[in-house]
Amino acid sequence: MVQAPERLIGAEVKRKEDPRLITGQGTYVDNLKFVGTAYLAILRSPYAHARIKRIDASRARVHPKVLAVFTGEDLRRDGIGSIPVGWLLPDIKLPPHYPLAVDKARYVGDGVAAVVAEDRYSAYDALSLIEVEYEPLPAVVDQEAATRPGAPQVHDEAPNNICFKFAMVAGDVNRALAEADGVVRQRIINHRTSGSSVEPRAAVALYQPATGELTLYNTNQNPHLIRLLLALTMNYPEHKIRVIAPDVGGGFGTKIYLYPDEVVACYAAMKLGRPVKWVETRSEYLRATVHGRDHITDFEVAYKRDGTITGLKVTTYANLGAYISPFAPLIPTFLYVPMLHGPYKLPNVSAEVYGVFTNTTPVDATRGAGRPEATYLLERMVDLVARELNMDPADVRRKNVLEPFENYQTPLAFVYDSGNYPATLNRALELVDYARLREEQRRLREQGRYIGIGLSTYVEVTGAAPSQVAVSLGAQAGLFESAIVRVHPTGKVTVFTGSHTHGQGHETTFAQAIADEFGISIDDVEVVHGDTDAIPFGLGTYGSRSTPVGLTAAYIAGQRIIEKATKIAAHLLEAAEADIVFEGGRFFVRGAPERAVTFQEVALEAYVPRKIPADLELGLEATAFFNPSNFVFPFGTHVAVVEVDPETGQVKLLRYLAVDDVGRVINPMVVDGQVHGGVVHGIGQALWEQVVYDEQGNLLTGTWLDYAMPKAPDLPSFQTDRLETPSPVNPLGVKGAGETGTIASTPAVVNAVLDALAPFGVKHIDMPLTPERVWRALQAARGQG
Amino acid sequence: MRVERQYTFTVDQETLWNLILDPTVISKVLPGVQKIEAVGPDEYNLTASVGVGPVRGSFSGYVKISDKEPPRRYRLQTEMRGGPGFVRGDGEVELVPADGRTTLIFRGDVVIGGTLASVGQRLLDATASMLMDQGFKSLEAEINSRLQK
Amino acid sequence: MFPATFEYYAPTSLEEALNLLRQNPEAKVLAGGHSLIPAMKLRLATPPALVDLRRIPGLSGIRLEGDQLVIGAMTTYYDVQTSELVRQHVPVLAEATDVVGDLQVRNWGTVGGSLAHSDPAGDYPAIILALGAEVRARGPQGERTIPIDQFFVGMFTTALQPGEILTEVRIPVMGPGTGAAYVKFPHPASRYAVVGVCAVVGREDNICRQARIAVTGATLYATRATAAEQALQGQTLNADTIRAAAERAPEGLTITGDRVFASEEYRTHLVRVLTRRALMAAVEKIR
Repeated sequence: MVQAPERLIGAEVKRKEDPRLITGQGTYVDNLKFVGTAYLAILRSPYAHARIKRIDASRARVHPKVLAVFTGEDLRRDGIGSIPVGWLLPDIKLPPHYPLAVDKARYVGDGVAAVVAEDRYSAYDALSLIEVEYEPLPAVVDQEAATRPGAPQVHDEAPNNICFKFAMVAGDVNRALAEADGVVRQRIINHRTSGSSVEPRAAVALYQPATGELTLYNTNQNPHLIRLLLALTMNYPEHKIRVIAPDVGGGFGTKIYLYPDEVVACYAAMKLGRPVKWVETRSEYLRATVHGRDHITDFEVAYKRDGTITGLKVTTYANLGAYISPFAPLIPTFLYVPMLHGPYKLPNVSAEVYGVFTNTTPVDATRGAGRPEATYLLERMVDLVARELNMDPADVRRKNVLEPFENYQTPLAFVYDSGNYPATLNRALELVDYARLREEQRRLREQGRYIGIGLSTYVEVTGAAPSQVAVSLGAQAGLFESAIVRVHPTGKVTVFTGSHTHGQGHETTFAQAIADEFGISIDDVEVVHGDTDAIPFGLGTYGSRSTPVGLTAAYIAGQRIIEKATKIAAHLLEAAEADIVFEGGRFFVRGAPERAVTFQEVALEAYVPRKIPADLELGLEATAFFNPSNFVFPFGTHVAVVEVDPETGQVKLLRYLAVDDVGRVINPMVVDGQVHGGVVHGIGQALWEQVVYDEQGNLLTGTWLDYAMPKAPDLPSFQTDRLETPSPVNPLGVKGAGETGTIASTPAVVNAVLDALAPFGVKHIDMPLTPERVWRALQAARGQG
Repeated sequence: MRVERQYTFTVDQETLWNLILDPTVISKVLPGVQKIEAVGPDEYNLTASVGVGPVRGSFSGYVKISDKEPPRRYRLQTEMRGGPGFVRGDGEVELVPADGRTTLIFRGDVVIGGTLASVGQRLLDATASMLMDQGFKSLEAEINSRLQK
Repeated sequence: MFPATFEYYAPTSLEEALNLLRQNPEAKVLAGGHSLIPAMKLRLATPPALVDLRRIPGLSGIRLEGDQLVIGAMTTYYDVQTSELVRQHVPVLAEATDVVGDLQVRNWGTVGGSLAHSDPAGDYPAIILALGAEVRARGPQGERTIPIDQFFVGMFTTALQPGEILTEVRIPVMGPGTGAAYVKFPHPASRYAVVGVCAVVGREDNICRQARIAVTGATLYATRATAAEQALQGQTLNADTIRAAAERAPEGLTITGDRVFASEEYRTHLVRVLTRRALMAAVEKIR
């Protein structure tokens, strides 16, 4: 069936991947079965910091089902190196990160030995047979304390545990502070969370000794990057490695990186000549898969009596954990500092960031990555200023947001592509009926009930990146995206993309856009991703880049197909190429729409030539690498309404509204899904989720009985709405929508709770806003009152 | 975690002092001790099997007594390791006499790590408190049985 | 999440189960498995053998015997939640079951498992304790009946002897003039009770003739808040007397906290607040 163009883009098409996934027909790594598979288990340090004095694996080695036991020394001896860092900064300290610890264990969960056995149970049994003599060392958990003299040293290479220092300045903050009508100073902690995908990490490594081919099936978001990092770590030729990321059950950033465990699986497969499978347990995930956030920030904000915010000075200590995860240096620097203007005019900003090693699980990007930290700071800042001035937080936002623009040069670095911030703000206030809500709040307070209204006006950066810019700033890989569009003789289409979908729905949205481009049915388009042997070199999915960069690459390849197809059509229609019009899946001669051939007829001609001349190249296939000229900047306003029980401190979320502008929308249902999931993620951080260590670095939240994931009964039904300001950066006018919810919702909820507590004089509480924290803040306020 | 707990026994300071330094008493008072062996003056290696509800683990490690100021106070250090994790303690035992009775005060830092800490958070403090109470009660029972003899 | 090796037995009679326990003193009894299996998967529990009670006929079911509602040990939460008999005679138990765990826990978890496990944050121990029930158990020495006030003796510890199997719980039906409510403050992650309070109140001429209040979550095991009970006994039931009684709820209780979510101090506060709310709700429900 041929559909009219422009019908699919913007249509609520049900996800093509869902019948497979919801009927249990998906292929996740642990579903893969290979004859002769052996199973890997990793022995992890129970100590946050300890010298490894001796490892005695003799009892494990004689276990009848054990095939091998490996230590860090074994890997080093066989030339396995350190996991590379993918983003470098000036003067960054780069201590090695070996897949298994060699001298010291540096966090609870650091791998110290590996067992390969005939079955999983035996592998885990054998872990308890390995005797490791540890000399426990003092540990450091708090990143600010870690920089003080005398703190335990995580790496000899990084004095005072400082990995890097990063600073940016725009305007003159000190002058703004000096000339301000008022200044608010606040310390805020953006605490550590876990990405917590439903599927933990998993790997199956296969090795063909005869050909030297190494294949890694792995839960990742970016197979080519994993292959590159693996080649560098293992000193193994890149072209002999194939990385496949099949169905992946959520990533949220945690599956961007090459982890030690996957390297060990590959090493073991090569040593044993057998397929080796490793599947992470949930309690392993919580200690061995990267965490996110973890900033300690002090800020000072200068404002005028009328609510104009004139300056912001920020000092942030960013916890990197025990090792540099491959993209960790990027997150608290270029994804955080240049966003400290947010959607505001704010001319004077200065920020200083210290990236600090501690004896904790490494920290890297998780959903939002840097922008949630910036947005949380800014949105708390606005509310604190509003509180000081006794102004409505909505009015302070109205006062400070930028006017509608295209290509706005922010004072720090980025050029925002397009935006209409007053529009989303006003739309949100209108949809919640803000004035009536405030009235209701007043009325309920008189009855001793405390509801709070929280706003969050955000802009974020997605669609990484102009590659030359990224590389000049320290990226060790370009950040383009690639696609091959292959039209088969029957006119059916396969799109090979370098992006990876692990919940985002690309198999649907990419098919929608390409079907529209060709005027064919969505059922005639298949999207292939996730296999380095099948797809062109691509950079994968993170930072909400797949639609603006990955889909754009496919769209450009599609345009090349149409260009060639037009030539073919011209021969079939015996007309000049310039006179051929392509519309609705048909090529016709301008002015004579009845003289037409279909897309399918043209495709057949490309492979079974009857009329086209010999000098026209056969086939109908195109490759494109899209290297965007700029990032794209989605924005919006979210509103949370909560009720706080002043007696217990319990927070109940009553209502949540998201008004977003993510540029042109391909599939509103998919975007809604992204917004819902993202909002839940951010609410989770605001109210429940937190990774907690004790002072000695022992992890106290190692299961989902302790680490509080958000749950459906605790959430209201969300209301979503959208405006569409197209991006000028790409031909589809799209921006990324995968992280907006996470970025916006955390401060909206926290602001709502503090708004509810305003009558008690409570100005700030650090997240998560657990009942006890709220209760304590109220106790303290009552004590003062 | 910082721990402070006390318990009053119906014996004088001197008697309590001698009892709590006696390895046979130590082996009865610490939870689940299976084997204790002296490796030096006031230093013992031991193995224990400790169970709380469905959770049971075998531990091995040491107890070391130092900085003795008889009959008032000493320093107690211990580290026990096993499959479920480790427990490390470093503190001071103080005996305060009053009216022929003696109050034993333990103040110290207890670190619990490994699987125990990260998956048993909900029950950790309760377990620590329960095991210490059990220890005090065992000591009281031991005292009573000796007094009867 | 891979448990260590264990033997699995699925006896088809109580006698067979008791024999297996005699032969395997270290064996654990398996009911719904929602506490034991997770501990085994983390290898925090490594019992050499499990004796599964699921195939023993007659261990589950709900019936009325005189003025007692009798619930078999292997009856699931779901069965209790949906039982007309329970709704009619001990409504608080059915209502409270709505907040036990989640759907899967309610479909698998059993009444007997919950009581015999004596989890410090379990819901049923407090509810059954407040209801003044009794527990039947079969062991090598035959059958015995244990009053619930003597049943919970410690964290994860009950009056059950090694080799003994809990077979049923007998709950007095709630007569006229009595009301009961369970108020729970769930942990956001585990849904276990941070604090849970069950109050059962008997009223005559607006005077409190009897109050049984049991606390879970804050204490090492389900424990009665006797100071609050006594404070209410013989008092006119109103918001003031209830508030005054609830203030005394923590008295005599050993309250422990945790370092992540709720400290001892906060739980103590919650014991007061939840006791008041449970009492208010219980009085409201008096019929």
